Amino acid sequence: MESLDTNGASPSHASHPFTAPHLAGIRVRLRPILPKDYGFLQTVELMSDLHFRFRLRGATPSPEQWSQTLWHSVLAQFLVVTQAQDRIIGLVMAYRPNFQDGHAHVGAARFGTDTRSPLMMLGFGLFVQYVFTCWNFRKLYLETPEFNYEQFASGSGRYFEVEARLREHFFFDGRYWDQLTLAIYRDRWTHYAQRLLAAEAPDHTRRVRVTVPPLRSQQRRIVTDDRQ
Amino acid sequence: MTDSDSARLSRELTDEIARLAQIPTEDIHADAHLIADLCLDSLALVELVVYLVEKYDAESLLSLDDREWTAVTVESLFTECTRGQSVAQSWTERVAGGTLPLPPQ
Repeated sequence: MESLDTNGASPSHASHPFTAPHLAGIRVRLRPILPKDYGFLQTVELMSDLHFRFRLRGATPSPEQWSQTLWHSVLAQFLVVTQAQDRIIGLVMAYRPNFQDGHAHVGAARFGTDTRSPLMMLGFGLFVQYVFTCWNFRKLYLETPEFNYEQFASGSGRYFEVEARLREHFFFDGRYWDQLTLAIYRDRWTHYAQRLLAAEAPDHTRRVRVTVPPLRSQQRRIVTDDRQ
Repeated sequence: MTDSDSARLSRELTDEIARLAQIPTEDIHADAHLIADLCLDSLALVELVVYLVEKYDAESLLSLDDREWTAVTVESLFTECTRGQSVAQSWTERVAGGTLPLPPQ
């Protein structure tokens, strides 16, 4: 049995104190969805490119069905809001968690898809960090039609891997498009996203150490190794 | 900042943009637009911002709310980040001086 120090903490965890994940960075923050946001969210989803690029893909559900769609299988979901202007720029979500096998799906929708911007990507980075911090997932899947993939394709092989391709899966505008399944691995994320998240951390020294906790099984191994 | 300092910084910026755009450094030209010409995606823009903040500590990059990235060129970005650092030579002057590649004719 492990010995406890006077504060009741396991010695092996003493160097890993409790640290809540950052919901706010220098440029963007994550905030929960409130009932008052529903009208805005429904409008922006139904009256922009998102109507075709995101989950509805052209359908117009009733307000009741739409709100159910918003929360269907959702584990966690936030709005991405800019710090400077308090402007909602997108939505990030984790859904279909599989706790037995250690994975979940994540998604993101950027409002105003006519311009390319790093802000939404920073918000998504904060969110992935949040999910890996709160739950013991090995990897996160992101499903995307190929026409959305070009917005973040440069991260392939570093931030994520392309793990599956369903050929001609989606119909839109007279042709079929592939669906890609990307996988964000916890260890790869820890390695590559640290610099990105440190630059967004609300500490102007930008020397904040951002880490993802290891899987519980790895922690147990570490404890075992300590005893040897 | 001396001429050699600014030349070194502009070369480093060119190298970083080339890395992010996954193209040879010699294909990066001062008047190239980050998105239309170099095809930087949103993730590459994030990495570029991180690099610029680390390298130049540019105040203007602390908020990106109103930035219109489609208009940004390699030269305009360099000028913005080195503003207030007494860049002795403009990017165009350095191109004329042969320290940077010329844009395609």
